[in-house]
Amino acid sequence: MTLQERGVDLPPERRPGVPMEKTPPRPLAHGEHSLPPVSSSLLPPRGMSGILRRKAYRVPGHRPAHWMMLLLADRIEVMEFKLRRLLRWLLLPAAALFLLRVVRR
Amino acid sequence: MRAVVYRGPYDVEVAKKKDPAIEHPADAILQVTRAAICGSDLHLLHGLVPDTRVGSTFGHEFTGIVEEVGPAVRALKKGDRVVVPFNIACGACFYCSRNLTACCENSNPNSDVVGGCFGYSHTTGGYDGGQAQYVRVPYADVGPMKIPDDMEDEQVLFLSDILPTGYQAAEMGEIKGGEVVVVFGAGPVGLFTAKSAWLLGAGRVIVVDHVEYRLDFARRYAGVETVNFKKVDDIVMYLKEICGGRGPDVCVDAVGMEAEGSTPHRLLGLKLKMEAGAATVIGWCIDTVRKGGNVSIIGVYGPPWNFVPVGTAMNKGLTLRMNQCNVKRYMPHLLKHIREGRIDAKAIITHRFPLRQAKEAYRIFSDKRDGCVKCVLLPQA
Repeated sequence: MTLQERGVDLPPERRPGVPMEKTPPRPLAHGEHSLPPVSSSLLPPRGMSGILRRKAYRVPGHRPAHWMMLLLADRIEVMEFKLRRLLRWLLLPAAALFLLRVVRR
Repeated sequence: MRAVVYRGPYDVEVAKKKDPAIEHPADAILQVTRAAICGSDLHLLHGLVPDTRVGSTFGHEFTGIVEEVGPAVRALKKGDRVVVPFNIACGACFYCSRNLTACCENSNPNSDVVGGCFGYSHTTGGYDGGQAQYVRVPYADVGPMKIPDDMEDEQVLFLSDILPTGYQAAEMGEIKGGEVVVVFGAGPVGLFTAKSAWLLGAGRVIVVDHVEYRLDFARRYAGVETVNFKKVDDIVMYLKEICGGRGPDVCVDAVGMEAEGSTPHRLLGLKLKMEAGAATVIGWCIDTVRKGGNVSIIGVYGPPWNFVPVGTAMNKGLTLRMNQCNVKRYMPHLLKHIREGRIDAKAIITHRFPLRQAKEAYRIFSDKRDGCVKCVLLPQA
Protein backbone atom coordinates (compact mmCIF):
# COMPACT_ATOMS: atom_id res chain seq x y z
CA MET A 1 0.00 0.00 0.00
CA THR A 2 1.27 3.47 -0.81
CA LEU A 3 0.55 6.75 0.84
CA GLN A 4 -2.09 7.95 -1.55
CA GLU A 5 -2.08 11.44 -2.98
CA ARG A 6 0.91 12.64 -1.07
CA GLY A 7 4.50 13.53 -1.85
CA VAL A 8 6.07 11.14 -4.34
CA ASP A 9 2.76 9.27 -4.81
CA LEU A 10 1.12 12.32 -6.32
CA PRO A 11 0.70 12.31 -10.11
CA PRO A 12 3.87 13.90 -11.58
CA GLU A 13 2.15 17.12 -12.61
CA ARG A 14 1.05 17.74 -9.02
CA ARG A 15 4.35 17.01 -7.29
CA PRO A 16 5.78 19.98 -5.41
CA GLY A 17 9.10 19.64 -7.27
CA VAL A 18 7.49 20.30 -10.65
CA PRO A 19 8.23 23.90 -11.69
CA MET A 20 5.28 26.08 -10.82
CA GLU A 21 6.87 29.39 -11.69
CA LYS A 22 4.57 31.72 -13.52
CA THR A 23 5.82 33.50 -16.64
CA PRO A 24 6.76 36.22 -16.20
CA PRO A 25 7.58 35.64 -12.51
CA ARG A 26 5.03 37.47 -10.41
CA PRO A 27 5.46 38.01 -6.69
CA LEU A 28 2.45 37.18 -4.52
CA ALA A 29 -0.11 39.92 -4.40
CA HIS A 30 0.29 40.07 -0.62
CA GLY A 31 -0.85 43.43 0.73
CA GLU A 32 -2.26 44.71 -2.54
CA HIS A 33 -5.88 44.39 -1.50
CA SER A 34 -5.35 44.84 2.20
CA LEU A 35 -8.03 46.63 4.16
CA PRO A 36 -7.30 49.00 7.02
CA PRO A 37 -6.75 46.94 10.18
CA VAL A 38 -9.43 46.98 12.88
CA SER A 39 -8.94 46.97 16.61
CA SER A 40 -10.85 47.27 19.85
CA SER A 41 -10.64 50.26 22.14
CA LEU A 42 -12.38 48.49 25.03
CA LEU A 43 -10.86 48.13 28.50
CA PRO A 44 -7.46 49.78 28.02
CA PRO A 45 -4.79 48.67 30.52
CA ARG A 46 -4.80 50.55 33.83
CA GLY A 47 -3.44 50.24 37.35
CA MET A 48 -0.71 47.81 38.34
CA SER A 49 -2.10 45.15 36.00
CA GLY A 50 -2.00 47.68 33.18
CA ILE A 51 1.68 48.43 33.78
CA LEU A 52 2.41 44.70 33.66
CA ARG A 53 0.30 44.20 30.52
CA ARG A 54 2.08 47.01 28.71
CA LYS A 55 5.39 45.44 29.71
CA ALA A 56 4.16 42.01 28.53
CA TYR A 57 3.24 43.33 25.09
CA ARG A 58 6.80 44.64 24.66
CA VAL A 59 8.00 41.01 24.87
CA PRO A 60 7.36 38.92 21.72
CA GLY A 61 4.76 36.16 21.92
CA HIS A 62 7.20 33.29 21.43
CA ARG A 63 8.80 34.02 24.81
CA PRO A 64 7.05 32.46 27.83
CA ALA A 65 7.61 35.68 29.80
CA HIS A 66 5.00 37.38 27.57
CA TRP A 67 2.27 34.95 28.60
CA MET A 68 3.35 34.59 32.23
CA MET A 69 3.20 38.36 32.69
CA LEU A 70 -0.26 38.45 31.10
CA LEU A 71 -1.55 35.67 33.36
CA LEU A 72 -0.09 37.41 36.41
CA ALA A 73 -1.66 40.70 35.30
CA ASP A 74 -5.03 38.93 35.03
CA ARG A 75 -4.82 37.85 38.68
CA ILE A 76 -3.66 41.30 39.81
CA GLU A 77 -6.52 42.94 37.92
CA VAL A 78 -9.08 40.75 39.70
CA MET A 79 -7.58 41.80 43.05
CA GLU A 80 -7.65 45.46 41.97
CA PHE A 81 -11.28 45.08 40.94
CA LYS A 82 -12.25 43.47 44.26
CA LEU A 83 -10.38 46.13 46.21
CA ARG A 84 -12.12 48.91 44.28
CA ARG A 85 -15.49 47.27 44.90
CA LEU A 86 -14.73 46.91 48.61
CA LEU A 87 -13.64 50.54 48.86
CA ARG A 88 -16.85 51.60 47.16
CA TRP A 89 -18.86 49.62 49.72
CA LEU A 90 -16.82 51.05 52.61
CA LEU A 91 -17.07 54.57 51.29
CA LEU A 92 -20.84 54.75 51.77
CA PRO A 93 -20.95 53.91 55.49
CA ALA A 94 -17.87 56.07 56.03
CA ALA A 95 -19.57 59.02 54.37
CA ALA A 96 -22.76 58.38 56.35
CA LEU A 97 -20.77 58.23 59.60
CA PHE A 98 -18.96 61.43 58.74
CA LEU A 99 -22.23 63.25 58.00
CA LEU A 100 -23.74 61.97 61.24
CA ARG A 101 -20.80 63.33 63.21
CA VAL A 102 -21.03 66.69 61.48
CA VAL A 103 -24.77 66.90 62.23
CA ARG A 104 -24.26 65.95 65.90
CA ARG A 105 -21.68 68.67 66.36
CA MET B 1 -27.59 47.61 27.25
CA ARG B 2 -27.31 44.53 29.44
CA ALA B 3 -24.45 42.10 28.93
CA VAL B 4 -22.66 39.18 30.54
CA VAL B 5 -19.60 40.68 32.22
CA TYR B 6 -16.48 38.85 33.44
CA ARG B 7 -15.52 39.68 37.04
CA GLY B 8 -12.71 37.17 37.63
CA PRO B 9 -12.18 33.40 37.50
CA TYR B 10 -15.49 31.51 37.96
CA ASP B 11 -17.36 34.80 38.24
CA VAL B 12 -19.60 36.39 35.62
CA GLU B 13 -22.62 38.59 36.13
CA VAL B 14 -25.19 40.34 34.00
CA ALA B 15 -24.63 44.09 34.22
CA LYS B 16 -25.38 47.34 32.43
CA LYS B 17 -22.80 48.32 29.87
CA LYS B 18 -22.31 51.11 27.33
CA ASP B 19 -23.94 50.33 23.94
CA PRO B 20 -21.40 49.44 21.25
CA ALA B 21 -20.82 52.04 18.54
CA ILE B 22 -19.47 52.08 14.98
CA GLU B 23 -15.69 52.53 15.38
CA HIS B 24 -14.60 51.73 11.82
CA PRO B 25 -16.40 52.43 8.51
CA ALA B 26 -16.80 48.68 7.86
CA ASP B 27 -18.45 47.96 11.25
CA ALA B 28 -22.04 46.97 11.90
CA ILE B 29 -24.00 46.91 15.14
CA LEU B 30 -26.27 43.91 15.71
CA GLN B 31 -29.16 43.42 18.05
CA VAL B 32 -28.37 39.93 19.30
CA THR B 33 -31.20 37.41 19.02
CA ARG B 34 -29.41 34.23 20.14
CA ALA B 35 -26.04 33.77 21.85
CA ALA B 36 -24.71 30.35 22.77
CA ILE B 37 -22.27 29.48 25.51
CA CYS B 38 -19.35 27.55 24.04
CA GLY B 39 -17.13 25.01 25.78
CA SER B 40 -14.22 27.31 25.07
CA ASP B 41 -15.98 30.11 26.99
CA LEU B 42 -15.38 27.92 30.03
CA HIS B 43 -11.60 28.25 29.53
CA LEU B 44 -12.10 32.02 29.79
CA LEU B 45 -14.43 31.64 32.77
CA HIS B 46 -11.90 29.47 34.54
CA GLY B 47 -9.17 32.09 34.07
CA LEU B 48 -7.01 30.01 31.74
CA VAL B 49 -6.77 32.38 28.77
CA PRO B 50 -4.13 35.10 29.16
CA ASP B 51 -5.30 38.73 29.12
CA THR B 52 -8.95 38.10 29.91
CA ARG B 53 -9.81 41.51 31.30
CA VAL B 54 -12.31 42.22 34.07
CA GLY B 55 -15.34 43.84 32.46
CA SER B 56 -15.13 42.00 29.15
CA THR B 57 -18.12 40.26 27.55
CA PHE B 58 -17.83 36.71 26.24
CA GLY B 59 -19.78 35.09 23.42
CA HIS B 60 -18.59 34.13 19.97
CA GLU B 61 -21.60 32.15 18.74
CA PHE B 62 -24.49 34.45 17.95
CA THR B 63 -27.18 35.52 15.52
CA GLY B 64 -28.66 38.98 15.32
CA ILE B 65 -30.54 41.65 13.44
CA VAL B 66 -28.55 44.46 11.85
CA GLU B 67 -29.26 47.65 13.78
CA GLU B 68 -26.76 50.04 12.18
CA VAL B 69 -24.04 49.86 9.52
CA GLY B 70 -20.91 51.91 8.93
CA PRO B 71 -20.52 53.99 5.74
CA ALA B 72 -18.32 51.38 4.00
CA VAL B 73 -20.71 48.44 4.51
CA ARG B 74 -22.35 47.35 1.25
CA ALA B 75 -23.65 43.81 1.80
CA LEU B 76 -25.84 44.42 4.86
CA LYS B 77 -28.63 46.80 5.73
CA LYS B 78 -30.71 47.55 8.79
CA GLY B 79 -33.10 44.71 9.55
CA ASP B 80 -31.10 41.88 7.95
CA ARG B 81 -30.93 38.70 10.03
CA VAL B 82 -27.42 37.30 10.16
CA VAL B 83 -25.27 34.58 11.70
CA VAL B 84 -21.71 35.67 12.43
CA PRO B 85 -18.51 33.55 12.37
CA PHE B 86 -16.48 33.73 15.57
CA ASN B 87 -13.42 34.79 13.55
CA ILE B 88 -13.07 38.49 12.80
CA ALA B 89 -11.49 38.55 9.35
CA CYS B 90 -10.77 41.21 6.76
CA GLY B 91 -11.32 38.81 3.85
CA ALA B 92 -8.45 40.23 1.82
CA CYS B 93 -5.09 39.74 3.57
CA PHE B 94 -2.47 37.05 2.86
CA TYR B 95 -4.29 34.51 5.08
CA CYS B 96 -7.90 35.43 4.29
CA SER B 97 -7.17 35.14 0.57
CA ARG B 98 -6.10 31.55 1.30
CA ASN B 99 -9.32 30.86 3.23
CA LEU B 100 -7.45 30.89 6.54
CA THR B 101 -9.73 33.49 8.14
CA ALA B 102 -8.74 32.31 11.64
CA CYS B 103 -5.27 33.68 10.90
CA CYS B 104 -6.36 37.10 9.57
CA GLU B 105 -3.54 39.58 10.01
CA ASN B 106 -5.68 42.71 10.10
CA SER B 107 -8.03 41.95 12.99
CA ASN B 108 -5.78 41.39 15.98
CA PRO B 109 -3.04 43.91 16.67
CA ASN B 110 -2.26 42.20 20.00
CA SER B 111 -0.79 38.95 18.68
CA ASP B 112 0.68 37.41 15.57
CA VAL B 113 -0.32 33.93 16.78
CA VAL B 114 -4.06 34.22 16.21
CA GLY B 115 -6.55 36.44 14.37
CA GLY B 116 -9.34 38.41 16.01
CA CYS B 117 -12.27 36.65 17.70
CA PHE B 118 -15.42 37.89 19.35
CA GLY B 119 -15.45 37.83 23.15
CA TYR B 120 -12.28 35.87 23.63
CA SER B 121 -9.85 38.01 25.66
CA HIS B 122 -7.46 40.73 24.55
CA THR B 123 -5.13 37.98 23.29
CA THR B 124 -7.53 37.69 20.35
CA GLY B 125 -8.07 41.41 19.98
CA GLY B 126 -10.19 42.47 22.96
CA TYR B 127 -13.50 42.64 21.08
CA ASP B 128 -16.66 42.23 23.13
CA GLY B 129 -18.73 39.16 22.39
CA GLY B 130 -22.37 38.48 21.68
CA GLN B 131 -23.63 37.52 25.14
CA ALA B 132 -25.22 40.94 25.28
CA GLN B 133 -28.17 42.80 23.82
CA TYR B 134 -25.97 44.44 21.17
CA VAL B 135 -22.59 43.71 19.63
CA ARG B 136 -20.15 45.47 17.32
CA VAL B 137 -19.22 43.41 14.26
CA PRO B 138 -16.06 44.59 12.44
CA TYR B 139 -15.64 43.85 8.70
CA ALA B 140 -19.39 43.43 8.44
CA ASP B 141 -19.26 42.76 4.70
CA VAL B 142 -16.95 39.78 5.22
CA GLY B 143 -18.07 37.55 8.10
CA PRO B 144 -21.84 37.69 8.62
CA MET B 145 -24.04 35.43 6.52
CA LYS B 146 -27.65 36.40 5.91
CA ILE B 147 -30.08 33.85 7.33
CA PRO B 148 -32.44 32.56 4.63
CA ASP B 149 -36.01 33.78 5.17
CA ASP B 150 -37.37 30.27 5.57
CA MET B 151 -34.93 29.35 8.34
CA GLU B 152 -35.00 30.08 12.06
CA ASP B 153 -32.07 31.61 13.91
CA GLU B 154 -31.49 28.46 15.97
CA GLN B 155 -31.26 26.26 12.89
CA VAL B 156 -28.17 28.15 11.73
CA LEU B 157 -26.81 29.51 15.03
CA PHE B 158 -24.06 26.90 15.20
CA LEU B 159 -22.72 27.83 11.77
CA SER B 160 -21.00 30.55 13.82
CA ASP B 161 -18.56 28.09 15.38
CA ILE B 162 -19.15 24.56 16.61
CA LEU B 163 -20.60 23.01 13.47
CA PRO B 164 -17.81 24.23 11.13
CA THR B 165 -15.32 23.49 13.91
CA GLY B 166 -16.50 19.88 14.14
CA TYR B 167 -16.53 19.60 10.36
CA GLN B 168 -13.02 21.01 10.03
CA ALA B 169 -11.84 18.60 12.75
CA ALA B 170 -13.12 15.67 10.68
CA GLU B 171 -11.76 17.17 7.47
CA MET B 172 -8.29 17.56 9.00
CA GLY B 173 -8.43 13.82 9.71
CA GLU B 174 -8.26 13.40 5.91
CA ILE B 175 -11.05 10.84 5.83
CA LYS B 176 -11.33 9.34 2.38
CA GLY B 177 -13.73 6.47 3.01
CA GLY B 178 -13.97 3.56 5.42
CA GLU B 179 -11.61 4.86 8.12
CA VAL B 180 -11.97 4.18 11.82
CA VAL B 181 -12.28 7.52 13.57
CA VAL B 182 -11.98 8.06 17.32
CA VAL B 183 -13.31 11.36 18.63
CA PHE B 184 -12.21 12.32 22.13
CA GLY B 185 -14.90 14.48 23.76
CA ALA B 186 -18.67 14.11 23.56
CA GLY B 187 -19.36 17.82 23.92
CA PRO B 188 -21.02 19.83 21.14
CA VAL B 189 -17.86 19.96 18.99
CA GLY B 190 -17.26 16.23 19.44
CA LEU B 191 -20.86 15.52 18.40
CA PHE B 192 -20.52 17.58 15.23
CA THR B 193 -17.12 16.00 14.52
CA ALA B 194 -18.71 12.56 14.73
CA LYS B 195 -21.58 13.62 12.44
CA SER B 196 -19.12 15.12 9.98
CA ALA B 197 -16.92 12.01 10.04
CA TRP B 198 -19.92 9.99 8.85
CA LEU B 199 -20.66 12.59 6.17
CA LEU B 200 -17.08 12.38 4.93
CA GLY B 201 -17.28 8.60 4.63
CA ALA B 202 -15.87 7.15 7.86
CA GLY B 203 -16.46 3.43 8.30
CA ARG B 204 -16.62 3.43 12.08
CA VAL B 205 -16.87 6.28 14.59
CA ILE B 206 -16.10 5.90 18.30
CA VAL B 207 -16.64 8.72 20.80
CA VAL B 208 -14.74 8.78 24.10
CA ASP B 209 -15.74 10.73 27.21
CA HIS B 210 -16.40 10.13 30.90
CA VAL B 211 -19.74 11.93 31.26
CA GLU B 212 -22.30 9.18 30.86
CA TYR B 213 -25.27 11.34 29.80
CA ARG B 214 -23.17 12.91 27.06
CA LEU B 215 -22.16 9.49 25.76
CA ASP B 216 -25.87 8.53 25.72
CA PHE B 217 -26.60 11.69 23.77
CA ALA B 218 -23.76 10.92 21.31
CA ARG B 219 -25.15 7.44 20.67
CA ARG B 220 -28.63 8.83 20.00
CA TYR B 221 -27.60 11.95 18.09
CA ALA B 222 -24.67 10.72 16.01
CA GLY B 223 -25.18 6.94 15.93
CA VAL B 224 -21.68 6.23 17.21
CA GLU B 225 -20.06 3.66 19.46
CA THR B 226 -19.01 5.12 22.79
CA VAL B 227 -16.38 4.41 25.44
CA ASN B 228 -16.30 5.79 28.97
CA PHE B 229 -12.56 6.10 29.63
CA LYS B 230 -13.11 5.92 33.38
CA LYS B 231 -14.59 2.45 32.99
CA VAL B 232 -11.60 0.90 31.24
CA ASP B 233 -8.14 0.21 32.66
CA ASP B 234 -6.11 1.93 30.00
CA ILE B 235 -7.95 3.89 27.32
CA VAL B 236 -5.08 3.71 24.80
CA MET B 237 -4.74 -0.06 25.05
CA TYR B 238 -8.52 -0.52 25.02
CA LEU B 239 -8.99 1.52 21.84
CA LYS B 240 -6.12 -0.24 20.09
CA GLU B 241 -7.63 -3.57 21.06
CA ILE B 242 -11.11 -2.76 19.70
CA CYS B 243 -9.53 -1.38 16.53
CA GLY B 244 -7.87 -4.62 15.47
CA GLY B 245 -4.76 -4.17 17.61
CA ARG B 246 -3.32 -1.55 15.31
CA GLY B 247 -5.37 1.45 16.42
CA PRO B 248 -7.76 3.79 14.63
CA ASP B 249 -6.84 5.62 11.42
CA VAL B 250 -7.82 9.02 12.75
CA CYS B 251 -7.95 10.48 16.26
CA VAL B 252 -9.59 13.83 16.98
CA ASP B 253 -9.00 15.94 20.08
CA ALA B 254 -12.30 17.74 20.67
CA VAL B 255 -11.57 18.40 24.34
CA GLY B 256 -8.75 20.90 24.77
CA MET B 257 -7.01 22.24 27.81
CA GLU B 258 -9.31 21.16 30.64
CA ALA B 259 -9.26 17.42 29.99
CA GLU B 260 -9.87 14.90 32.75
CA GLY B 261 -7.98 11.62 32.85
CA SER B 262 -4.44 12.50 33.91
CA THR B 263 -3.52 13.70 37.40
CA PRO B 264 0.01 14.86 36.39
CA HIS B 265 -1.35 16.93 33.49
CA ARG B 266 -4.07 18.48 35.64
CA LEU B 267 -1.58 19.27 38.39
CA LEU B 268 1.04 20.74 36.07
CA GLY B 269 -1.33 22.48 33.69
CA LEU B 270 -4.33 23.57 35.69
CA LYS B 271 -2.96 23.99 39.22
CA LEU B 272 0.71 24.91 38.81
CA LYS B 273 0.38 26.56 35.37
CA MET B 274 3.61 24.93 34.23
CA GLU B 275 1.95 24.00 30.94
CA ALA B 276 -1.01 25.58 29.16
CA GLY B 277 -3.74 23.36 30.56
CA ALA B 278 -3.89 19.56 30.53
CA ALA B 279 -2.73 18.16 27.18
CA THR B 280 -3.95 14.67 28.14
CA VAL B 281 -5.99 14.15 24.99
CA ILE B 282 -3.23 15.11 22.54
CA GLY B 283 -1.12 12.41 24.21
CA TRP B 284 -3.95 9.88 23.97
CA CYS B 285 -4.48 10.72 20.29
CA ILE B 286 -0.79 10.26 19.45
CA ASP B 287 -0.51 7.05 21.44
CA THR B 288 -3.78 5.55 20.14
CA VAL B 289 -3.76 6.30 16.42
CA ARG B 290 -2.18 3.74 14.10
CA LYS B 291 1.24 4.37 12.59
CA GLY B 292 0.97 6.75 9.63
CA GLY B 293 -2.43 7.90 10.89
CA ASN B 294 -3.85 11.37 11.34
CA VAL B 295 -4.32 13.36 14.53
CA SER B 296 -6.63 16.33 14.30
CA ILE B 297 -6.53 18.87 17.12
CA ILE B 298 -9.48 21.23 17.40
CA GLY B 299 -9.56 21.49 21.21
CA VAL B 300 -8.31 24.85 22.44
CA TYR B 301 -4.92 25.16 24.17
CA GLY B 302 -3.34 28.29 25.51
CA PRO B 303 0.21 29.51 25.09
CA PRO B 304 3.10 29.03 25.62
CA TRP B 305 3.57 25.22 25.67
CA ASN B 306 2.29 21.75 26.57
CA PHE B 307 3.86 18.41 27.38
CA VAL B 308 3.16 16.35 24.27
CA PRO B 309 4.85 13.08 23.10
CA VAL B 310 6.31 14.48 19.89
CA GLY B 311 8.90 11.68 19.68
CA THR B 312 6.13 9.07 19.48
CA ALA B 313 4.38 11.07 16.77
CA MET B 314 7.60 11.29 14.78
CA ASN B 315 8.42 7.60 15.11
CA LYS B 316 4.88 6.59 14.16
CA GLY B 317 4.95 8.84 11.10
CA LEU B 318 1.82 10.70 12.09
CA THR B 319 0.25 13.69 10.44
CA LEU B 320 -0.79 16.26 13.04
CA ARG B 321 -3.19 18.90 11.80
CA MET B 322 -4.73 21.71 13.80
CA ASN B 323 -6.13 25.20 13.55
CA GLN B 324 -8.84 27.39 14.93
CA CYS B 325 -11.73 26.84 12.57
CA ASN B 326 -11.80 29.00 9.44
CA VAL B 327 -15.56 29.33 9.78
CA LYS B 328 -16.43 31.37 6.70
CA ARG B 329 -15.05 28.71 4.37
CA TYR B 330 -17.55 26.10 5.58
CA MET B 331 -20.71 28.13 6.02
CA PRO B 332 -22.36 27.68 2.59
CA HIS B 333 -21.56 23.96 2.46
CA LEU B 334 -22.87 23.28 5.96
CA LEU B 335 -25.96 25.43 5.42
CA LYS B 336 -26.77 23.04 2.60
CA HIS B 337 -26.33 20.03 4.91
CA ILE B 338 -28.72 21.63 7.44
CA ARG B 339 -31.25 22.61 4.79
CA GLU B 340 -31.25 19.13 3.27
CA GLY B 341 -31.71 17.50 6.66
CA ARG B 342 -28.38 15.72 6.95
CA ILE B 343 -27.48 17.69 10.08
CA ASP B 344 -30.00 18.89 12.65
CA ALA B 345 -27.78 21.38 14.42
CA LYS B 346 -30.57 22.80 16.58
CA ALA B 347 -31.21 19.38 18.14
CA ILE B 348 -28.19 19.65 20.44
CA ILE B 349 -29.70 22.62 22.32
CA THR B 350 -30.80 21.29 25.69
CA HIS B 351 -31.15 24.56 27.64
CA ARG B 352 -32.38 28.06 26.87
CA PHE B 353 -32.09 30.96 29.31
CA PRO B 354 -32.94 34.65 29.18
CA LEU B 355 -29.78 36.78 29.37
CA ARG B 356 -30.48 37.75 32.99
CA GLN B 357 -29.98 34.09 33.99
CA ALA B 358 -26.61 33.81 32.26
CA LYS B 359 -24.78 33.15 35.54
CA GLU B 360 -26.98 30.13 36.19
CA ALA B 361 -26.54 28.98 32.57
CA TYR B 362 -22.76 29.11 32.95
CA ARG B 363 -22.96 27.15 36.20
CA ILE B 364 -25.08 24.37 34.71
CA PHE B 365 -22.95 24.13 31.57
CA SER B 366 -19.65 24.27 33.46
CA ASP B 367 -20.70 21.66 36.05
CA LYS B 368 -22.31 19.44 33.36
CA ARG B 369 -25.53 19.26 35.39
CA ASP B 370 -29.11 18.62 34.37
CA GLY B 371 -28.19 16.72 31.19
CA CYS B 372 -26.77 19.92 29.68
CA VAL B 373 -25.22 19.60 26.23
CA LYS B 374 -25.65 23.13 24.88
CA CYS B 375 -26.93 26.37 26.45
CA VAL B 376 -28.37 29.22 24.44
CA LEU B 377 -29.04 32.70 25.83
CA LEU B 378 -31.95 34.83 24.66
CA PRO B 379 -30.73 38.42 25.01
CA GLN B 380 -34.04 40.06 24.09
CA ALA B 381 -36.23 37.92 26.39
